[in-house]
Amino acid sequence: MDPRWVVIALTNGLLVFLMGQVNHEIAPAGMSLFLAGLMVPLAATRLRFRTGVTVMLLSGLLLDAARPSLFGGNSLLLLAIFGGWFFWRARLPRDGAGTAILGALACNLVLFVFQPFFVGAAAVIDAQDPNLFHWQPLFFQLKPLVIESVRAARHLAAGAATGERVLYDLLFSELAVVLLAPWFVALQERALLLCGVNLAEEIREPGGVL
Amino acid sequence: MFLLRLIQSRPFHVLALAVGVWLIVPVVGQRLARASFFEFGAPADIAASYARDLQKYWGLRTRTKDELLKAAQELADLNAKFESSVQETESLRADVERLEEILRLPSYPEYRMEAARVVRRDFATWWQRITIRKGRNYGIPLHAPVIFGGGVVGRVIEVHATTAVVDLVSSPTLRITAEVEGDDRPFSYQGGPNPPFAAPHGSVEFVPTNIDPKTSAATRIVTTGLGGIFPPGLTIGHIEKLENSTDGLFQNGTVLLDTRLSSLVEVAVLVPIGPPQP
Repeated sequence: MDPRWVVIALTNGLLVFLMGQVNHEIAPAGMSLFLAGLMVPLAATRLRFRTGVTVMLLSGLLLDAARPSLFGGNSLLLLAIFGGWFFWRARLPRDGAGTAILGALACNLVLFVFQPFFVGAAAVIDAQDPNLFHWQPLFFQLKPLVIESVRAARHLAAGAATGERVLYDLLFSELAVVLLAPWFVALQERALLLCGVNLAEEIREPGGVL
Repeated sequence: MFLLRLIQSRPFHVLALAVGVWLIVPVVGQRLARASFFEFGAPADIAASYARDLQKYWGLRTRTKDELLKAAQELADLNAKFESSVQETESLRADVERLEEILRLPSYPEYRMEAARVVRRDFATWWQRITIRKGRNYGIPLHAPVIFGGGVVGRVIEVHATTAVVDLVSSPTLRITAEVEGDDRPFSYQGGPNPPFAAPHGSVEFVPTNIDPKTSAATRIVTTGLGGIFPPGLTIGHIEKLENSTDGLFQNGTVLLDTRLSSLVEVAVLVPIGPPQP
């Protein structure tokens, strides 16, 4: 079995855990960090398509499970970001810390912006009568779900946090991403190396299996 | 050429397929998957909370005997005060029961207190919640009120095997009825907005116009007991400021919550005793 998807998904799980612990410690300051953008760079620049898709889906579900947001929402968004990056990756630089940092920053920004919509959508689903809604696929509720989640997100944005809070959280999160991106990518590469996968050698192979 | 384009656009086809699958999976399936993934991650959070407890224990072991003796003395003083409070409470409870019997009033629901350690505090931009180290294994029910020394903490919104998630009183997703202490006119309370580097806040709506926090000594707002989740009289916070609403019929304003809310270590879940209420 190819250990790549397990190793990268587990390291992303570790990131979710560490993010939770950091947020636990900084809660008294009225702050929170969002670092999910770190999950994408290595997968998008180094992994094969199928492995990357599996990693993104699993990582997104791990992230969603610990948050009151639409379950699967972050998975699909991570998949979309990964897909876009994968599509363009032949034309983009792959090596170096700069690529990882810039990529992680952009991914983190996109993920952060979508969070209130996912929270709003989850609130809309939770407000439904569970007896009627349990067995219904989301497809049948798609239009009201989108409209209501946008409305709920706007309401949430107005009532949940001041603009100052959103700005500070985003600013500190992006700063943390800049600091952590090289370390996290190195951690993932080292974890793969421990499992016998040498990404550096694979890049040099003729034909570029990546 | 067509095949090449098809291969190149594979990421978008896979994304469309994933969205399609996600849309046709019933909500119950998604909830089941969420619970499974939550339980997968829960042991790590619980282990971290035990590690913090151990760290605190060893931190306390470094204290000198003099410091411990002083702490014990302070604790003994507190115990003496609490013992007298308990006696007073018992006497008041007996009075309430007697009056309920004479006036044939419905009695307040009774609760047992289940103390629980906080595993994780999550004060995100869009929500505020904590995870506690007790769940179905201790009979924690859904929507149970959670309190601490400073008043209301929140209510249980998710119950898992060994943990439960509490929506905090500072979270914009929590809305309850409240009243100013000593005034029985209810109004609406909602958590948030929460500014950075500041104590947690809440907001109130539909407050009667003759309530003025500047002139009145009573600015403490408490639960009303309406809605059936929170028992009446629990402290929510203190009114910070009030402004007239646009129609001029009521006032809206902000509520300053207990600063300890964002650094909670232990809370008490009020588990209702007796048959569940409708």
